[in-house]
Amino acid sequence: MMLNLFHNYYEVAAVILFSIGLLTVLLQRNLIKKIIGLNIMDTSVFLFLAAKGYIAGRMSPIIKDGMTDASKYINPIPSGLVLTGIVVAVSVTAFSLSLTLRWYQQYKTLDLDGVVLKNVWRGEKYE
Amino acid sequence: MNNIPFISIIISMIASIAMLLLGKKSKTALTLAKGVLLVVALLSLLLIPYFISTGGSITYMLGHYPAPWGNELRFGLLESLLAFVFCTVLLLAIIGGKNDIIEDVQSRKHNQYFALLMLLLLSLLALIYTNDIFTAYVFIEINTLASCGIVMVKESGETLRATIKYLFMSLMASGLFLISIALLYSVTGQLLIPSLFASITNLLASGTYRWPIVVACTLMTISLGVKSAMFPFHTWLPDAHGTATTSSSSILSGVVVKGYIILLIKIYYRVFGIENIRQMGVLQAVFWLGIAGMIFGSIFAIREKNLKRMVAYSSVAQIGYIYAGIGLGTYAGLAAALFHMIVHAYTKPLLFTSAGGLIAASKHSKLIANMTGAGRRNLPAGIGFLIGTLSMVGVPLFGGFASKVYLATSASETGYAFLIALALSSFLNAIYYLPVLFRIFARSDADEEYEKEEADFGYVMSISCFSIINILLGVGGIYIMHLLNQGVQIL
Repeated sequence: MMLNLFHNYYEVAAVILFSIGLLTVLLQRNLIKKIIGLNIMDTSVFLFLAAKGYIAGRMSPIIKDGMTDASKYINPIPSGLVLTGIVVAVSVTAFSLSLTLRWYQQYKTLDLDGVVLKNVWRGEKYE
Repeated sequence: MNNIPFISIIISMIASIAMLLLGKKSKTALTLAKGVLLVVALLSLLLIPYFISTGGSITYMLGHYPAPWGNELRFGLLESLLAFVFCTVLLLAIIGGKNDIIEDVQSRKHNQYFALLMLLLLSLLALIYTNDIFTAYVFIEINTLASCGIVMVKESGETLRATIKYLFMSLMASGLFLISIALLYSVTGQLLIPSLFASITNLLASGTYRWPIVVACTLMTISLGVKSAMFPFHTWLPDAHGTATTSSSSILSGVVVKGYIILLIKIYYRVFGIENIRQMGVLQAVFWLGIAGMIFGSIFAIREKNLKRMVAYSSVAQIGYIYAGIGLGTYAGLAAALFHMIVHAYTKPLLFTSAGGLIAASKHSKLIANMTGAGRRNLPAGIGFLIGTLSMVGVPLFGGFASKVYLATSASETGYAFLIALALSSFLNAIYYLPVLFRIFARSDADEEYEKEEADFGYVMSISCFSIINILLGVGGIYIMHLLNQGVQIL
C-alpha cells in the first residue's frame, strides 16, 4: 500500500494539491484567495492528467523525422485534455476576477462573509 | 436528419457572436434571438416523428474520426423532445420578460444579454446531445459562466452577492467534475460514453479498480447535484433565482438546472449503468436526498417573505421530486421524473413571469405583504400565478397533478416513504402558495394609488402559452408519458 503511494507520487501530489485547493475555496473568506484555491484545484487535475499521459522514455507526441510508430510517443490525449482545461480555467479565472473587481468597487473590501452577514443583519436581504 | 443537432448547436453559436457585432441594435438582437430559438425548436420538433416511427437513436460523428478517437453527438426521441421543450421555454421566457429586461438591464448591455442567452442555449443543446464526457465538462463551464452572466446583468448589490455565491459553488463543483473525469480516464482510458460504459462494466465485473469508479461516481453526483440544486447543496439557488431579472429567473429555474440533471441521468444510465449505481449505494443516497429536498424546500419556502425567493425555494422542492424519481432506479420512475421535469420547466417560468408582473404592479416591492390586490391590478399576471399555483399544489386537470400521479404510480411498488413525502410536500405547497393567492386577489383600499399597468401583448401571450401548455400537459400527459417511456428505453 505504502509502496503504491510512493510509486505514484505524482498522483499523490495531485490529490494533496486538489484537497488544498478545495479547502482554500471552502474556508477562505477572501475572494482573491478563493480564486487562487480554484486555480490550485484545476492545476492539480492538470498535473494528474499529465502524469497519467506520460510514459517514461518516450517522446512528445509530435511526429519527428517521419516516424509514425505510436510506441515511440507518449499518450497525446491527456495533453489535449490539459490544454482544453487550461483554456477553461483561464476564462473562468478572468470572469471571477472581474466580478471580484466589481465587488471591491461596491463594498471596498475583498471579504466575502463580512458583507453577506452584515447585510443579513441589517435585513437588506428582504428589500 | 443526422445533421439537425449539429446545425442547432452551430446556429446558436453563430447567433451569439452575431449579437455582439450588432452594436446597439437591441431590437434586432431580440428578434434574432427569438428567430434562432424558433428555428431550433422547429428543427427539434422535426426529429420527434422521425424517432417515433423508427425508434432507436442516431450517433453523429464530428470531424471524420471514428469512435474511440473522435467526438460524437448521440440523440434519440428523449433528446429531441427535451431540446424542443428547452427552446420553447427559453422563447416564452424572453417574450414574457421583455419589459423587465428593458427596465433592469442597461440599454447598452441588451445585446450582451441576448448573446449570453444564445451561449446558454448552445451549452444546453450540447449537454443534451453530447456523447463525450470531456465535451460535457467544457459545456458545463460555458453554461456556468453564461448563467452567472444572466444573473449579474441586473447590476445591483444583491445580484452581485448572489452571483459570487453561485459562481464559487459552481466552480467548485466543476473542479470535482474534472477530477472525476481524470479518475475515470486513468482507470479506463476512454472518454466516449459507450466505450466508458463497456470498460467500466468489465472492470466492475472483474472487481478491479472498484474504488476509483465509486469515488468518480460520487464526485460526479455531488458536482452535478451542486449545479442543479440538489437538497443540501441548494443554498445558492434562492439568491440567484430570487434576485435576477424576470426572464433570467425563469430560464435558470426552468431550463438551466434541468440541463445538469439530464447530464446526470445520462451519466447514470449510459456511463456507469443503473445496476452498478444501485450497488454502489449512490442511487439510494440520491433518492433520500430527493425526499429531504421535497420536504425541506417547502419548509424553507413557508418562511420566506419575498415572493421571488419563495418561488425559488419551491424549485428546490420540485427538484427534490425529480431526484426522488431518478433515485427509484426504474425506467418508470425515470420517465415520471422526466415528465415532472417537463411540467416544472413550463410551470416555474410561468410563476416567475407572473411574479414579475405582480411585483411591477405593487411599486416594485418584492415583499408578499405589499401585494394586496396586485392580481387585480395586473390581471394576466394574477391569472398566470393562479394557474401556476394550482399546478404546483396538484389540482386535477393541471400538469402538476398529472406528474404527481405518475410519480406516485411509479413509486407504489417501492415502499411508502415516497408516497408520504409526496403527500406531505403537496400539503406544504398549499400552505405557502394559497395565502399569496388570496392576498393578490384581495380587494385593497389603496387600489387608486396605483397606476394601471398597460397590458403588453408579448407578456399576455407568454403567460397564456405557458398556461395552455400546462393544462394540455395535465389533460394529455399520457401521450407525453408514452413518448418518455419509449425514450428512456433507448437511453
